[in-house]
Amino acid sequence: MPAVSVKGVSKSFRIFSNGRDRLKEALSFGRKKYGRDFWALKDIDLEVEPGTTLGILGRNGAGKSTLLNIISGMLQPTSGTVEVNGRLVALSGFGVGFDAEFTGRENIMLNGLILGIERQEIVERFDDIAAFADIGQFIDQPIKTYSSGMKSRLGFAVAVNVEPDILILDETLAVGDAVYKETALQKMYELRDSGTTILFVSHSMNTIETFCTEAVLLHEGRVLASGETTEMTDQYRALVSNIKAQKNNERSDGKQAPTDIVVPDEEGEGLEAWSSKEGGATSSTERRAAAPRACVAGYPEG
Amino acid sequence: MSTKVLSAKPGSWRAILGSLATFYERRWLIKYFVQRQMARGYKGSYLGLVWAFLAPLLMVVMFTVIFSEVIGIRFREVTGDSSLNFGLFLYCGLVPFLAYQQALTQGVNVIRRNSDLVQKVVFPTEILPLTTVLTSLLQNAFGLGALMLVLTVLEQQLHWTILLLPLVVVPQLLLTLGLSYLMAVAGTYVPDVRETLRTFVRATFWITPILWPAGRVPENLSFLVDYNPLAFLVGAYRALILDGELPGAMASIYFSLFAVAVFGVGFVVFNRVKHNFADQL
Repeated sequence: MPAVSVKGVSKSFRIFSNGRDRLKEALSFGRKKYGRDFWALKDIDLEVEPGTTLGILGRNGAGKSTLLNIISGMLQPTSGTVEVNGRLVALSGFGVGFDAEFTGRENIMLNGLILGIERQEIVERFDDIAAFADIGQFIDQPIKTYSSGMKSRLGFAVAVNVEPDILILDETLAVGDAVYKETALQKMYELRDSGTTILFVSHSMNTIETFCTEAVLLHEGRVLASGETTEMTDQYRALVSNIKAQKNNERSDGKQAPTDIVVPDEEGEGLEAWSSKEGGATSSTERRAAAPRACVAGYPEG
Repeated sequence: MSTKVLSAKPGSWRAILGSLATFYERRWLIKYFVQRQMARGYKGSYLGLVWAFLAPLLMVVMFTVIFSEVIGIRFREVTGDSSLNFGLFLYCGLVPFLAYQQALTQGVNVIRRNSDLVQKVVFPTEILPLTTVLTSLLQNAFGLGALMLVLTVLEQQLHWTILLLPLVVVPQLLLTLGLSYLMAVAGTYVPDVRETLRTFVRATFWITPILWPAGRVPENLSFLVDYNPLAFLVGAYRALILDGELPGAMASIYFSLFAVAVFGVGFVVFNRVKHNFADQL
């Protein structure tokens, strides 16, 4: 039985140019359309066997976060099904639900309960969590006195010390200093070797190459390729340099080249930025829509 | 090992029943959330949670002194001490109203305020309105405790009918919870509802016999009392606590049925749309 099985999952977001359109459409109860659909994911199939460490590669806006959010159940797919076998802990933001007024001790309990862990289990593992977070005396101080590194360490400590069957990590090693990174990575290797299924997003090719057993490459909401890690990272590098070259061409031409590759901006195009900021979202999608439709070598046309 | 199948069709009837079960499964989370909300207001003060009782006590004492000694408004004569008039009458009506007001004004914001929980973790959002309603009812209980303390001191006795209060509080919980669910949905989809709600709640204060006695309502406005669930609630609190009488049987049954219906509608609507909250924020 696969740990995670994704079948034909697509996800679209409704885009409205302003709030009034959104309301008008809601009030018409599906009779009229004022917005349009933006497909963040199209027809994703993915099977992850237990114990796999799957790296997820892709540029900003490729749909990595959306896919992980759907697998973890935070977002509902527009179509398709997701099946998850085992306890899943997702870390897309650290210390979600932390309350600044309360102590580290209280927040460990609160955060654990939010993640869906039994109270008894949190009590039993409390010492491990505190030791791993390594914040010493601060455990009995309100979180508002913590540095941001301490906060994320605490959040990370709760999530990885409850022995998830499936762990979803989104850019999470980016927190903490070098020493802590080492500890965190150590813990991740430990989890991996004890058979935890890990879905891992990072922009660091090195980490993915050394850490992951398999990888999947997403591009514009589709699975471009999947398989052995180094093969995927090579493909990803090729894709990136391809796009860079294309971009440089455009610059040197001084005008929009008749290219068939969509070149999103480095910032703002990411789906993360896109779904959180509505105002900026519209303009960036319009730009996307205005750009010529995409086809990169090896990328399945649809 | 648990198997979870997430499909494109959430909000089925089975899923809705399942989320009733989450209330039990996540009871510790609910407890901590309520505790946290109760404690937040008093965090850092020297007396801490004692304030949850002291604050309403100060209020009821102030009401008694101001309205009975200074202004001297009297709607009802109390045996023994005539100072016990309007202040207690007003306060006793205010307690359930404040719980209702708090539950609604907090409920309308609850999804936005907890956007982290909605967007960044897998979280049973249906417990969020429940925790705000439970918090408001807990404060309600502290308010009642203060009222009873003052009554004991001034009248040297409490009516046995106070023991029947839970029969009113349970439908009160269902009613406010149902309204909170509806408000949470409305407030998430249409932010403007939050502003409208404040006015609406303020209006219900004036059309409910809290400041004025229900018996004095003119004939042509009597529907304000007869068809107003809040009027029943306020009346029932006063009857059970101040007068030692029972609220009307038929009215109690209607109120309970209405409360169950509102809860049912609110809960189903909320569960039908909760999966879209993450997309909405």
